[in-house]
Order: sequence, then structure tokens, then C-alpha cells
Amino acid sequence: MCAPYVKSGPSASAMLNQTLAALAAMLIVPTVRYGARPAAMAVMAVLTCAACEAFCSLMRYGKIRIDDSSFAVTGLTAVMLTPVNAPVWLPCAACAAAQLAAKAPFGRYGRPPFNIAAVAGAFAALCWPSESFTYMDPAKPFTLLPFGACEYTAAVSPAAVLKNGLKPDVQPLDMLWGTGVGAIGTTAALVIAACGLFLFIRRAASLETTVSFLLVCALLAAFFPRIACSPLTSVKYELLSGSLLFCSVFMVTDPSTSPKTFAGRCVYGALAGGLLMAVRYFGAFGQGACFAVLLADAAVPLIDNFSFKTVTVFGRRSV
Amino acid sequence: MWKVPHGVKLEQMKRPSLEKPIAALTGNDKKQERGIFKLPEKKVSSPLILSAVGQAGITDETDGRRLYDKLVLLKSGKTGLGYAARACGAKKTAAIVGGSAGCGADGKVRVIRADPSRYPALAPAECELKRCGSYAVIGAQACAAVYDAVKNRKPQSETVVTVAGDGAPDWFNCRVKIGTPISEVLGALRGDYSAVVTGSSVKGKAAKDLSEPVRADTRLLLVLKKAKARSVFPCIGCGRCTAACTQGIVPWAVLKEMESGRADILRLPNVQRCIGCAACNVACPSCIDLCAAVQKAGRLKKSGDIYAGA
Repeated sequence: MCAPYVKSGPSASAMLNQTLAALAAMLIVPTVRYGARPAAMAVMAVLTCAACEAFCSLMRYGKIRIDDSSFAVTGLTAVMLTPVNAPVWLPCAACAAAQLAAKAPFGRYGRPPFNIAAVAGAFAALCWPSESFTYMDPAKPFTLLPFGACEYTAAVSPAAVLKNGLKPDVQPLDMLWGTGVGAIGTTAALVIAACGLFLFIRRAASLETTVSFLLVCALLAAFFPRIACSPLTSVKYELLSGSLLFCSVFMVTDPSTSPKTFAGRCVYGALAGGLLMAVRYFGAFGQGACFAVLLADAAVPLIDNFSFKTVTVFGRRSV
Repeated sequence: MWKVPHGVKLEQMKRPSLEKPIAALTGNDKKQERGIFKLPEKKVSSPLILSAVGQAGITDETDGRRLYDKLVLLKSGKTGLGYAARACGAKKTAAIVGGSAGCGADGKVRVIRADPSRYPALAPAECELKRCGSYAVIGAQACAAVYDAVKNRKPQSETVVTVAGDGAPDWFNCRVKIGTPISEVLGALRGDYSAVVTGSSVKGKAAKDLSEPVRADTRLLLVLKKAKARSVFPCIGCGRCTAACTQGIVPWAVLKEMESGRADILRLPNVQRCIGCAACNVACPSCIDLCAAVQKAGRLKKSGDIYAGA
């Protein structure tokens, strides 16, 4: 007699917890390399998000009601997009603004049309660009206190070098291990890939969005290189620089803001990829992942509407 | 207070207990053995069978509908076993069996195999039947009740209920009178349980009160030690409900349309096909009652009132 089957499939809160676990795993490498500062920034950002969540629920329901861990995902994602030498208040302020402006008016997880972490990233980039895009050189001596001021040597990130039309002075293979210049969670490509694999296997993230996103970015990088090099080299530098890879795993795959059909998610991924490369080519900032995700999110209702019609009228699910 | 479990696949739950023999919960009542209604003629003909089915008040346990209505509907140009087939003039009959059950060994009955690992198991078989034209699926108990109605003039008064679940130490099948309280069926059960799910093979719901009676379409009493309560989230748009639905419905779109407050029936495709299996509910990670939304949309569409949702 086999054991009875009661629903044991993934729940929305389990999916959030898995994403949270993957983001927490992303903190290990920076914490080992830079000390307690990345962890302190993460704790402060998550606490800020929790406080905002509690405040919003108090205003909405008259009592503190925190149902899910989406606020922690927002906090950790925002920290991953922040340089380790940035002030601790930067991700906290960005998260607070995003929670209050982009989540509170819409309600619980699943309701907001925009990725809250992308709003936080865009807010920080627009309000404090110098703090958001000043990176330290990890190869030079540095002193990073958990909450205090930092002593470091500033360096230009590969994304900024590419923006200036120059070839970054770093080998693409070195960008795999997190030894390069960049934001806390965006430099270790291998760790991002491992976390992505975990999320895809646990079905907490949709693979098709990531694949179409990376494919379009790679094609645009190959056909329209920003620097004088072979298409393959351009693809390597474009994919491994900035927050592109992190964005492909943790931001465009957010099920609550991406379209609801397979085809829709493919289109959404491709659109986000195209927009990200457009922001890189024509935008003011070297990193445009947050802006690209927000612009793509705005198109989701249109994509859903179109893909629903396609599914019901032209597909096997005919009326 | 009984807990309401979420996403229980009744059809798959009862499978292991199907091998158990059927025990009679109540003693044989001699008065019930005799026929209690009269039929106009003794020769078994289509109108007589329909009359017997109507008077016996037989309910099909597969969908909880009155069998008389199904047969009359089929007779008017559509097609179905034995008396039921003759009642509606069916040209072909077939038996849908799950797994390796030995049905139709004599070669007279065509056998359609249903995949018990799929939910609902009947859906692929129904797709095969649809290709043959008009059809109806009639449950085994309803067929047995038709035989009793025609041959013995007996109304449908009993049903076979399977008792299963981790809260029942011994799973068993029993023949009970319709109307018997659930508590009486579970009376002999010594297990420690906190929730009971009751329903037909496909449709099921949590019993909120154990004094609820066993109905004609009650096929299973699922006794659970602990009902896993899940919190409900808004739709996160994963699209798993669409993949789970065997009838081509897009539940998330139906939910969105119904929640809009001004549902347009033209934007509710296929909702009339819902068989109430609640596979969408089981697949939904947000634990939304999509099945209820789809069935509500089905009623709205059937009413044809394009302004009803406004």
C-alpha cells in the first residue's frame, strides 16, 4: 500500500525561499573576499525591506502581516547590484523607496507589475550615480569596515570600459571567479550559473526567459560589437561584464512580473535582452539591466494579451 | 473545526484500496430487496429502461449528474453499457479501465486503457472517445444501479465507498446506504485523523462536518492525519495551471477576467468544458481556487448574458 498523495508541489512561498537561498549563497564569495561588509549590507537592506513591509501592512490591514519572504529577496537582490565600497545606506534607501513606491500601492507579492529590485537598482542609479557606479579595485589594498568608511583604490569596471569603446584589461576567464571589478553579486559568473542551475532544477525560475535573454544579448554583441574585436570576444566581454548575467538569472525570471505563457516568456526575455543592449549602446550608464527589466515589465500585459489570443485562437487550445 | 486540505488528488488516492473487497456496512434489509416502483411493461425496451432509470433516481458517480438526463441527452442523437446503451440507442460500447485491470477478457467489450498516473485518468480516454463522435462516460456503479432498476425495480439506495488516507490504518471498501452520516462510515476507524475529504472519483471537497451524509456520487472518504494548510497568494503568473488543464482552458486568464469585475464571455474560451477535476488547483503554487473561478465563468457563459459580468 503506497503512501497517500497529498499536494507536495512547489508553492509560491517555497519558490521565494529557494530564490532567497540562492541569493544567500551568492553572498558567500563576497563575504570571504571582502569581509563582513557585504553581509552587513545585506542584513541592513533586508531589515529595511522588512520594516517597510511591516509599515505598509500596518497601513493597509491595520496590523503587521508579513506573509512571504519577497521583501528579503528584494533586499538581497538590491545589495547584489551595489558596489561593496558603496555606503551601507545606499541599498537601504533604494529598497525603502522601491518598497514604498512600487510595491505598497499594488499589494502583496504577485500584484506589483514591476520587479521591485529593479526599481531599487534604477532608483539608486538615478539618485546616487557616483555611489552606484564607483567600484573599488580588489587587486589593490583595501580596508572595508562593516558599517564605517572604507579605504580603497577606485577602478573602472569592465562595463564602463566597454562603454568608452575600449577593451577591458581583464581576461574573460578571470571574470568567472569573481575577482573582477563590479557590484557585489555580479562578478562571480560561475556562482551565478550554479545558483541559476539550482533555481531552474527546482522550477523556481523559468529557463526559457534566461535562454532567450542571453541569446539576444549574445547575438547583438556578436553582430554589433562595441569594441574592435572578434564577435566571440565581444560576446564574452558583454555577457560577463556588468550585471547582465545576474539579471538573466535573478531578475528577468521573476514569475510574478514575467508573462504567463511559454512563448510570452521567450518574447519577454528577448525584449529585455534587446533593451539591455540598447541601454548599454545608447544609455548614459554602463549598466542598464534594471532599466531594461523595468521597460520589459511594462510590456508584459501586452505580451500576455497577445500570447493568450495566439494560444486560444491559433493553438491547439481552440475555442 | 475540520481543516480544509488543499489539492488532494482523490482519484489517485483511492487507487491502492481498489484491490480490497467490498464489505457491507449495513445489514441486508429484506424490504429493500423487493421492487418498489412499477414499470409499464415487462419487455426490456429502451423506453422501459429510461423509465426505470428515471424512477430509480440513479446518479452517475463519475460526475454526480442524473443518469436519466445523460441518457435522454444521448438518445437525441448522441451515443454509451448493456441497458444504458440500449436505452439511448448506442451503436458501440467500450470499457475504460485503469492500469492492467482485466476487463473485457471475453473479447466482446472494447477496452480503452486509462493511464492511472495521469490526473484525471479519464481525460486522455475521453479525448479518444471524442474522435468517435458523441459519447457519454457512465460509472460502474451507475451501470450496476441501472441493472438493479430494470431487473429488480430497485431505486438507487446504496453506494460503494472507499476509505483511504494516512489517517486510516486499514483501508477498506464498503457498501453503504445513501444518506448514512460520514461519522457512521468512519465509526469503526481507530486512526487518528484531523481532516476528511469526500467526493466522487474526480470531484472532491473537504467535509466540514462529519454528520454530512454519504451521497450517491460519494466514492471516497479520504482520512488525513494532518491537513496541510497553505496560505493563498495572488497569481504569480507561472502558467502551470494551463499546462495542467486537460480541457484546453487557460485558468489564469479566466481568473483575471473574472476578477476584473466586467467579465466578457468572449474572453472566456473553453470554460464550458471544465470537468471540475481541480488539476489547476493542484498545480497552482499560489493555492488559488482556479477551478471555482472557471466553473463560475462556465455558468456565466452558459447564461449567455454578456452584461452579467459588468
